[in-house]
Amino acid sequence: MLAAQESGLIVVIALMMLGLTLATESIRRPHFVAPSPGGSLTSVEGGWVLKGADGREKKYAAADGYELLDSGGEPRLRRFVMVNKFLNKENLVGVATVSSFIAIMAVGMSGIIISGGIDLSVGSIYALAAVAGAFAMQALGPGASLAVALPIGLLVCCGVGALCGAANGSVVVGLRVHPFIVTLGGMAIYRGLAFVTTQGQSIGDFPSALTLGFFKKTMGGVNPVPMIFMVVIAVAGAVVLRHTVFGRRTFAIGGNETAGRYAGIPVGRTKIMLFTIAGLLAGLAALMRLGYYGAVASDAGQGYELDVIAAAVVGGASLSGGRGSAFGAMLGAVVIQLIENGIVVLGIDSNYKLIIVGMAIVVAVVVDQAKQRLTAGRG
Amino acid sequence: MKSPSDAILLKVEGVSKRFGITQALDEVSVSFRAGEVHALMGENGAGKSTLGKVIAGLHRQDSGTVTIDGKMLAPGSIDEAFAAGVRIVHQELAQCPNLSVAENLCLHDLPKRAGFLVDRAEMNRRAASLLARIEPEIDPSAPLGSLSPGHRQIVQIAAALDEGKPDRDGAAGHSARVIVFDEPTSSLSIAETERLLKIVRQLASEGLTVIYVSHRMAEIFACCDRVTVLRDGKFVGTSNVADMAEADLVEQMIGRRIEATTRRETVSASDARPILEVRSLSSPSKLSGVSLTVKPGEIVGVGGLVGSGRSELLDAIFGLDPSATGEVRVNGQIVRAGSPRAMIRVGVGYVPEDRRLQGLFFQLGCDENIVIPVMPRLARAGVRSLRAERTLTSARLRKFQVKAAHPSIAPGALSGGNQQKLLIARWMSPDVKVLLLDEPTRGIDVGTKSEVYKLVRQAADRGTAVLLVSSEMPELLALSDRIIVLCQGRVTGELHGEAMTQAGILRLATKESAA
Repeated sequence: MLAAQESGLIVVIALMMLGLTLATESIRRPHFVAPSPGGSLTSVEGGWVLKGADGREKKYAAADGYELLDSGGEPRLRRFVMVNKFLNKENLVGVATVSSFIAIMAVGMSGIIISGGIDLSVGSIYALAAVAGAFAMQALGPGASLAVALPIGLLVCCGVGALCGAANGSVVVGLRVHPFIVTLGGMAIYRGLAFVTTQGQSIGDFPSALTLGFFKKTMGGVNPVPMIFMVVIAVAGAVVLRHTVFGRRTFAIGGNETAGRYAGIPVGRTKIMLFTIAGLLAGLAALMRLGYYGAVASDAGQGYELDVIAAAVVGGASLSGGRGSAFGAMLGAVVIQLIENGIVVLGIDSNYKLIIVGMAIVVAVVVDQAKQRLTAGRG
Repeated sequence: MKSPSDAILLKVEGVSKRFGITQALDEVSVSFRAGEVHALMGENGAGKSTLGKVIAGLHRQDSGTVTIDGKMLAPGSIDEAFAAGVRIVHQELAQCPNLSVAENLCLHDLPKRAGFLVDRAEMNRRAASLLARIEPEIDPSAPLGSLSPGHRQIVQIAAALDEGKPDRDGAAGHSARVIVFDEPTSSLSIAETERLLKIVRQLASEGLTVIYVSHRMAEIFACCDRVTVLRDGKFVGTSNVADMAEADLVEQMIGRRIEATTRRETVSASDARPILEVRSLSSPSKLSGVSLTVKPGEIVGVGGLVGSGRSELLDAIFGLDPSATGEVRVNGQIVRAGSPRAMIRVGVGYVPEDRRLQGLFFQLGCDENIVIPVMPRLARAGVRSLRAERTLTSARLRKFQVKAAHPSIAPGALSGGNQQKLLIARWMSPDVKVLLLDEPTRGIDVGTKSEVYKLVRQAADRGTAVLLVSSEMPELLALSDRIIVLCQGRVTGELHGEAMTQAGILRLATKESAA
């Protein structure tokens, strides 16, 4: 079902993960064992016994490297384990979570790029939507339930995002200005609005049902919610692009806008919709972020436009329009995050990030064009 | 016609060239004489353009040789072909419209002053001397974009005549000896074509070998000495044009005889009520007060020269011209102005002039290219109905004999004729009551042309009203029930029955200020 582009990306991701696993050294990491509330920790011959609240007991032997820490606070056990700096649960979950913010925006970006446009303002829309959402969540207070916080959060964040996107699209279509210019202006305007409304302050105190109880909910050491959102949006994006009239019109416009007009496609309306959806998805990513991190400042998502466009392009979206896919955008986001994570785990100076991501974009486009030429030569 | 000398200048022997699975040229051998205009003819995909490009070194042949004056050229070497005096005038106008004529002519070697400044005076002088040989009227300092298509084509010929940069050791440049023209008149008006043909004859009389690739029969008979026909990449024969009749040539090209395009029985639908009514349609500097009606089953031709407003008229009717004023009624109802979608809803279809630029989506499959206007109607709540689409496209592709390996293949893989049939097939649905056709047979071969004619006639027989624009007079005369002629954006007359002749159209088309 996956196209060649996407299968190729999966291979690239697998190779990157293999490479990073081999290239990073193992580190000693502490692993803690503490009694849960109502439980107890008792010292026995050659080790300790942890008694749970339900009365179940588990033995930890000193021979396995456990030692007791009781200097202040609850007594707990600690031992050091060797883990690969890249290939461990915490790191991979972190990569997947940050990927999901980028991926959701990259799906919207892919739609715009397929239609032959570009949106540079995505990072700023994300920031403005996050700030607006943060004010709303702060107003609800830490005690609000998820049933209240989530709908309001969606409404505010996605609403603000969609409004910004609709504004971009309307100016592009109505005033016939190139989307590059419109969204370059939008990038500054929306970021500026975020600065002005927050006065540069960080905003926190969100309903914990939304943060710890939902977006940061941990199940078996994994935060599944952002990843579920990512997959759902990517699948929805793929269905829209492949199986709806709107999706096929997007490809048609990007391939040949003039022919689109002659075939009776509502070119303007389709473009405005695409920008609106991209803005809405940036708003959704913003809500996920404020839920995940529990605080927002106006400089959130600085430079995200680079990551998002890179993800879409690495995922196979052609800047000349007419080609691209939602799954590709998601996988592209993972590739970009793996690059950024690789820089961290390999211990490379993080100032090199921009250089490496920038080169990745160019390489992706060059490889893609070479592939195009190869297939064209066969026709 | 001056008889060319018999000296063979250029020899192509056993040339084969394969593109993927397509054998574009198969063991082709042709000899070209100095001082002759030698036509290469064949259907689309016969290999005539490929042969021209092999001679000019743009394509590297898989086997076989090209020799000039007994000297063999290295395969695929543009430089060596250029040095031997081979030039090519491209099908597409490969120029920079934003630069001046002189800059375009000297682009490969801008004359310099003080090492880095462009020597404009020298540049203009050089350009003027190149132009003087064929068309001194063109101003070298004018922006190329301001020139008519005909003059732009002439600038390209002038560029081909350039001797090139003298060698580093001071030896003189290489004067042109062979010029390949690849469909040079496809974007030219009648008068411009005549001028170009004169230049072609002039170049031959100066001793150059002109290789003339074209579809247009009339041009072959007007200016060529000999003609070589290719079919499916194979050499069919070389003959003296004087010994050939048009029917023989067509037979050589397609391998069978086709019935001459005869005029269709005029429908006497005079009592039927017009389905398309256009009233005083105007648009600044394009159209002024055009009114016309088309009845069901009627084919109305629109004649006129290039620039007379024919395509602009169809654009305006279809709602693509935002500054158009006037009224368009379909079935008696006024259709909302400026909305192609409203037009499609009431059953109007439009096959535009340029299938690459205005017609097809090259990133989508043939199937989607056909269903795109009706996709919303087949869809349920915006989600495509793939089964309904498949039924429709496979029926349409079969009916219109679009030769595609698979319905979802991109149109770029089809031949020009099949692309055109695909575009026409998009609008050949029972819902389309009014069909606007702009140059429906542009750049397609003779065999496909007669198929397209059949399709248009069938549509009319089913009761579709057809408004047909064509630069090819025989086509217009053969298909139309009556012909409306435009000049400078206004209707200068209408021709019926016996009055429909080439001379009649031309007379009205040049009736400049008929107000």
